[in-house]
Amino acid sequence: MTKKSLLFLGPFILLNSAVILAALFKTIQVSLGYYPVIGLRHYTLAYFKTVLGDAAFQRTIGYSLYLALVATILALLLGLGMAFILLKTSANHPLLANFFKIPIALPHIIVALMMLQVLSQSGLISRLLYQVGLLQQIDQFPLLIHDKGGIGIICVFLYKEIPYVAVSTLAILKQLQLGYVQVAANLGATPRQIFGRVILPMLQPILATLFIILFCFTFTSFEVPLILGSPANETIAVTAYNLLTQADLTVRPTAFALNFIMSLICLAMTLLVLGISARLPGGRRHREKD
Amino acid sequence: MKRTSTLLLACFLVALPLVVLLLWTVATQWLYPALVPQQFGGKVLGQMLQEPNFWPAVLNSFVIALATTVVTLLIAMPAAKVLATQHFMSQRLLTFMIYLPFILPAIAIVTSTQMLFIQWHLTGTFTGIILSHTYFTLPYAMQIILESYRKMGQGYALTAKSLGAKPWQILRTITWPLMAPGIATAAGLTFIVSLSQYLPTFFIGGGKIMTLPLILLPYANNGRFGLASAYSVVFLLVTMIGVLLLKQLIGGWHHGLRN
Repeated sequence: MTKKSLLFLGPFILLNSAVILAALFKTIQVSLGYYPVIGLRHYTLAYFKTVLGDAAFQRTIGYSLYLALVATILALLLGLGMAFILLKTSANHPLLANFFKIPIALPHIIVALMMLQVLSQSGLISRLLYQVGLLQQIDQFPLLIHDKGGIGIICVFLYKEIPYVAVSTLAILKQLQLGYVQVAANLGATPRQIFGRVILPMLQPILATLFIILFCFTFTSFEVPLILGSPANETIAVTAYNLLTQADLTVRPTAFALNFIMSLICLAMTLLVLGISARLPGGRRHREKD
Repeated sequence: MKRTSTLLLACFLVALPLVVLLLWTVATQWLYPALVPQQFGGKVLGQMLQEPNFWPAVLNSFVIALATTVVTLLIAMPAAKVLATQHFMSQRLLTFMIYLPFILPAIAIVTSTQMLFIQWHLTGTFTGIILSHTYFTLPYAMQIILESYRKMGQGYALTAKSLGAKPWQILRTITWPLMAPGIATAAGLTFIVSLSQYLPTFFIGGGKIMTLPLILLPYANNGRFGLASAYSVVFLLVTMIGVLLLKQLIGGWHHGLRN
């Protein structure tokens, strides 16, 4: 490596890798109980035991996993479906196709506010049902916001992520349409072979990447569950935020242990999905069986 | 026909919440179960304009997002140039490294770097906020600019060099015109991502530097629909102005050269 390329790369490494390493070091240090600011100087696993052994923390982690998995899988399925729709319609309706992409650029806070205005008990859908006579009272409308199932939270992610998945997979679908499928069929491939040898190898790497990005984001997202979540069912980032904004510094090691655990879950999920993707057709480690 | 109606339905679902948001900004009375506001007026907008934090938040948001865009491009462009043609590490490791900020939880990174930023006296400063935003925008910019470099290849620049072009001539007449569309896209995306950051501004800014998300979040959280919607519309306007400005600045130079 030349001196010039080091100079060119330096600032990037400083603000990317160095930040990550420094943050990791601090997180591990404080979560293991080394926090001299409040007089803690002895390394201990006690804070990790607190987080992993406490029922409330376990619930938080489980609930965040549920939200992230449901939102991500639905976004991938519906997004892929919309990509097929766009593939067939965007040439004739470019304006509509472009309008559909708007949510990608909207910030999560604004989308959360919009869902509040549409889905809450006094929201637009409730008003509509009242007007057509399906509701007699406002509280007959099901709780979709601050609810246990996190419907409102999931809706925010779907609103933003379906267009994102559709746009990201559309490019691949266009390549498929350019003839790979027809060529395979002409050469006598069965529908199963076409799926396994043509469609899956081309689509699964981008779907795996999207799964990782969306899962890690929704799993640790903060603004959306803060606005739409139920106080009884906190998500992991909201719990960490509540601990970290307390004036009481003695809860910080626990919060950092929680931070470390959620980082590990994100990394583990990433490696798992990359591993699966590599072994599927189109992956680096896929072995042909026949 | 069925496909077109699905697209229409999808666009309707995208549009509906946006229309409700706009209606809330001009409604002075909108009680349940009315479908449209009972009274319209500029009361909410006037209330927002009179808030002491309004103009500082707009200006701070704009300045921070613009500065973050400049810093991000200045870091990403040379790095992408080297990484697009590098051979010292595997492509997969490189991709993983660039995308790590997408994988690691923002709250974990922000709160632990906050402790370092306190030691370096960067908390509560614009520099601190801009640096923390840049960490989050770099993957987006790197992704797009790396792709542009790879598409362009080294061929044109090498040809020009062998024909005797000087480095600045290559930059001005070959690299920049070919890269400008990608750089404009990266700049616009960086601006949008920086503008919507809440956690780094909150923790690194320490509440001293107000931005639009910092005002918007509590209003949305407390169900102040009118004010929250008005701030959202301002937010979207600032986004559009910034993105168009960046496109003009970056694309403009490109067009000037062609003529």
